[in-house]
Amino acid sequence: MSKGIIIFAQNNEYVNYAEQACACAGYARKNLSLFDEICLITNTETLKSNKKLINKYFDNVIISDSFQPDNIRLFKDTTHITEYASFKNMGRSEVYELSPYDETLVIDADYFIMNNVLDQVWDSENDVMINCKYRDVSERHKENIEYLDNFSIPMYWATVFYFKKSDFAENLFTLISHIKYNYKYYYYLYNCSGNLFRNDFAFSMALHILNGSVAFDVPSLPFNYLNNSFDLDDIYRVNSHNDIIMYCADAERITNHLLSRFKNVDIHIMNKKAIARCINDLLANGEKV
Amino acid sequence: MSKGYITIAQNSGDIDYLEMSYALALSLKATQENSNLCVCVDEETKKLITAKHKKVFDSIVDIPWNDDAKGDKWKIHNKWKYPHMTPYDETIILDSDMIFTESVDYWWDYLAKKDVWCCTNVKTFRNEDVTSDYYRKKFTQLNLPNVYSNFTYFKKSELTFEFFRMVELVMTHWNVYFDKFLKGVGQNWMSADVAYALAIQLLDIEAETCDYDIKDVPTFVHMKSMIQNVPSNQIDSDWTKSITSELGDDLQVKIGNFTQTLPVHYVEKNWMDENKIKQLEDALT
Repeated sequence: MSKGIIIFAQNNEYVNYAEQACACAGYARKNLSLFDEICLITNTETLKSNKKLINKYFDNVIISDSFQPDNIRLFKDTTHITEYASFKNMGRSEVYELSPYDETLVIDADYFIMNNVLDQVWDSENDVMINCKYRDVSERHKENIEYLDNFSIPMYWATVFYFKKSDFAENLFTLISHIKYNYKYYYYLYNCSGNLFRNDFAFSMALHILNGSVAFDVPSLPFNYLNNSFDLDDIYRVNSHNDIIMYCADAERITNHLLSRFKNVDIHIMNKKAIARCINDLLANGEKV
Repeated sequence: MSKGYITIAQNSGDIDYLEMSYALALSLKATQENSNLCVCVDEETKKLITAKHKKVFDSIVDIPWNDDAKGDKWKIHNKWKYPHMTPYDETIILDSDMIFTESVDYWWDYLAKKDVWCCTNVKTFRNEDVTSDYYRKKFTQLNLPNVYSNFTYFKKSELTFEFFRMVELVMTHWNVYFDKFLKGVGQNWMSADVAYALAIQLLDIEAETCDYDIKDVPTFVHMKSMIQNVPSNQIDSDWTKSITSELGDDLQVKIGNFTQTLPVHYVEKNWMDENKIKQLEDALT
């Protein structure tokens, strides 16, 4: 059974996702050992402008130039800067077709693996593993489950998930694709908030439908929570491939920040500009030995 | 050993508990192998019983020893009489404003492990365990057993009659028991849940009648608004005004995005209307 880690990256005018994906690939390689390859799925344009770096950090590159409709998102860099930019996240549903592996672990280009827990996903009995529960590292969000809306279904985080080639996974990604192309309908059906197409939403809806629209538990990855650092946080210092110190926005007063150290624990850093500011340190710590 | 459900139907004002009991009986017939329902009625409600009711009610019983709820709008005062009214060896108490969606027949064998088994955990429409004590401040403050009387299993036994005798005392001498044991925050009116809880506490039979470790049997979806794990400023006190719901032709109950698989206590009496009853009737013909 082949085992691969896949990261998606398509640059926009705001973020160089390719170099961030390289940093994440480096962290995955340093902390995990039971996979065969790390693979990037990107478009021709992004590859062209980052080829050397991508070849250094990835074992395999797959080009997908599928049309990405406008999906405009507000990017925040702490409380100081906000900017609208295109968000090219529509390709995620194609991963089942594109993945050359029997077992695939997909991670976002802002998800930093800092321990070896995710090595436990390989050879799983589960067809799909994804997490619903999360922890806001700044504790501004007190609940550990988010809903698509107050009256809607729980949200699963498509930030990191595992699947193996199987009927269930194939059906899931077919349905996600259907939801993507008929998003307005599902958007209203599930009382979604915001105008952005979110993979998290599409995955949550598809899982809900595939499970018969009843309350259900999808097998989670081998940890209870995703550690989410939202975009009001910043990176203070990158110490090593398993040690990052964050500025966490104070729950009481978000312009104040508290230093928090994350060691041997994965972290999802949503502030893209913070990653960009530390990209050299992040890339250096993930370099192949 | 005969088994069946029991409910009290006493029409009050414009609330037609008999019709809700009829809908309950239809839903039991549609979903349960053991669908026996005994309906207990007062004299006035009995006059409204027609052939359609007789067809689906397994048993119709007169509420004995006068009507303790006479003159009261919220008719809960006869809820100590169940073991005297039931024709079954094993009985599950229900409220009439409930509907069954899928078979829970397998619960009976499980519940038979106790003489009396009170439901202590209920669910939101999303099938989450209810954790809010919004309507149960008195339970929290007085550390009362967290029982929901409208899904109580009992078999005829010494413990059962002892328990319901205590419920009778609490209900018929409410003011005395309230002053002595229940004063403080929360409700001051009598409810069956509080009466059952106090009886269990006074008899010190919580271990015999409750099992807090088992969250899924017996249980039901409890549709009181403020326990739905939705911000209280987002939901109307009448949940039907905030959450869409439907009874499908396949008799599946959908509330919000969720198909319900447990018994549903819909609480809002107008939720059960002529159309839904027609759907239930049609499904059985």
